[in-house]
Amino acid sequence: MESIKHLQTLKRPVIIACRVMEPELEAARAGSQAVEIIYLEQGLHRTPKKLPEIIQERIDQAASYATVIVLGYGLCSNGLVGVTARRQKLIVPRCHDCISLFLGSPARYDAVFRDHPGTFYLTPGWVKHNNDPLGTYQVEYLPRYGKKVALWAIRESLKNFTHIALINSGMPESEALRRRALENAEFLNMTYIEIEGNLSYFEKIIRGPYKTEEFLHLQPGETITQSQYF
Amino acid sequence: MDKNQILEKLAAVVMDGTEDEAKVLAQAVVANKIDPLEAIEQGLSKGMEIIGGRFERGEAYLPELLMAAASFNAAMAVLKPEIEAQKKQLVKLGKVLIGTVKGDVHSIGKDIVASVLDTSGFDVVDMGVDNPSLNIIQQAEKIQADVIALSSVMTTTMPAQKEVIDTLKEMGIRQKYFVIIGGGPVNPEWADRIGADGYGKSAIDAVALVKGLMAKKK
Repeated sequence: MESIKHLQTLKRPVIIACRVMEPELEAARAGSQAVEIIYLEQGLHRTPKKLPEIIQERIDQAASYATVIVLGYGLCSNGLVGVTARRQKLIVPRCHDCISLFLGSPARYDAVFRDHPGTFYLTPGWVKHNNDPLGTYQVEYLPRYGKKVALWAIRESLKNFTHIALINSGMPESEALRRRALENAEFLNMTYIEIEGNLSYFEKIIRGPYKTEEFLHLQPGETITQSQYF
Repeated sequence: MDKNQILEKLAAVVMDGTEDEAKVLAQAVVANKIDPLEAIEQGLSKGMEIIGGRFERGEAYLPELLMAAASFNAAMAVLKPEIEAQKKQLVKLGKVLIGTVKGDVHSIGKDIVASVLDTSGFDVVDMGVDNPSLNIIQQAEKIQADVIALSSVMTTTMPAQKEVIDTLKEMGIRQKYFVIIGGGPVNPEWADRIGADGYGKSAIDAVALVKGLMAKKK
């Protein structure tokens, strides 16, 4: 406990990120302790109205020792709107959701997205926490609604989706991930595609540079708004 | 059951997502000669609004929202022929072209708005999802729409709503149409910023909005 307390007074950058990107952020960090990374529960984007309060609480907790606060979040359906760091600078990736982070840049996401808008993207974090369609069906829907309704619901919710895309950033578990992605595609009768991802955006979250094309820079006390993203 | 009880029950079965009961109640609306439009506004749409709010707050899961939409549609299927019969005697209120913008494949909310506008006396043409801006404009010109209603359910695709408006301006035909917008992340500030004629949060909102705009036209 003592050592943890000691570390929390150590002045260093603090990154507050969604747990979905833990595998990539940890790979990008490569053991470095120069930054603190706080992971928040995945799936908070489903209730975007609650997200600002949860992130704000963690920012306030880190306020006494963070040299700068960097968020590992996209705008996430306005889930960041209203968030502010009162005492330090706040750096936020300039992208709408985490897929841009996995693909390396917002521009890359736009290019990929244009081809197949009805695409469900999978990364190690999505699968690990059962947030892939198959996981959602098995873990969330099936016990609650029974097979008939659960199957109908998962298919109905994704009825306009045509592709399952595995974002391959060369992470260690990529073979298992590929198997799972293929299972998802078969389960939903969708086309399977594989897209190359990379860790570059995650590396920038950890070490910078925080170029203004890729990151929003907010001064202490400045609040995140939707319009900053457009 | 009296009228108010039927309407309350209708809202409740939509919220519960019990499709068969929704059908039975819609039949009761017809049998009791309740105005089907009132049943849609005070019953069905109200139920959808409440479940939508619960979903937003994380109190309901997506399957519950989907089941509510299915119940809504089941009751609508019973009420529609009644409304169609009435509609023949009515003057159409206006023509609405509705669709989800380019890059977005979400349809639950848009479908409900289309359905409620249709039963409220508008001619509705639904273009479905993932519509390029130019296709939307081309279709609006072709059917001579009064209103273009654009849905966007991701902040990623909100700029496509702006694109439609900007393109209408560039083509010099912006004043021919009312453009209204909606969808989960969309808000009145965005509507102002991109120069839309209005924003609606729910299907009931959309009806009031379009009626108000059409009144301006006359």
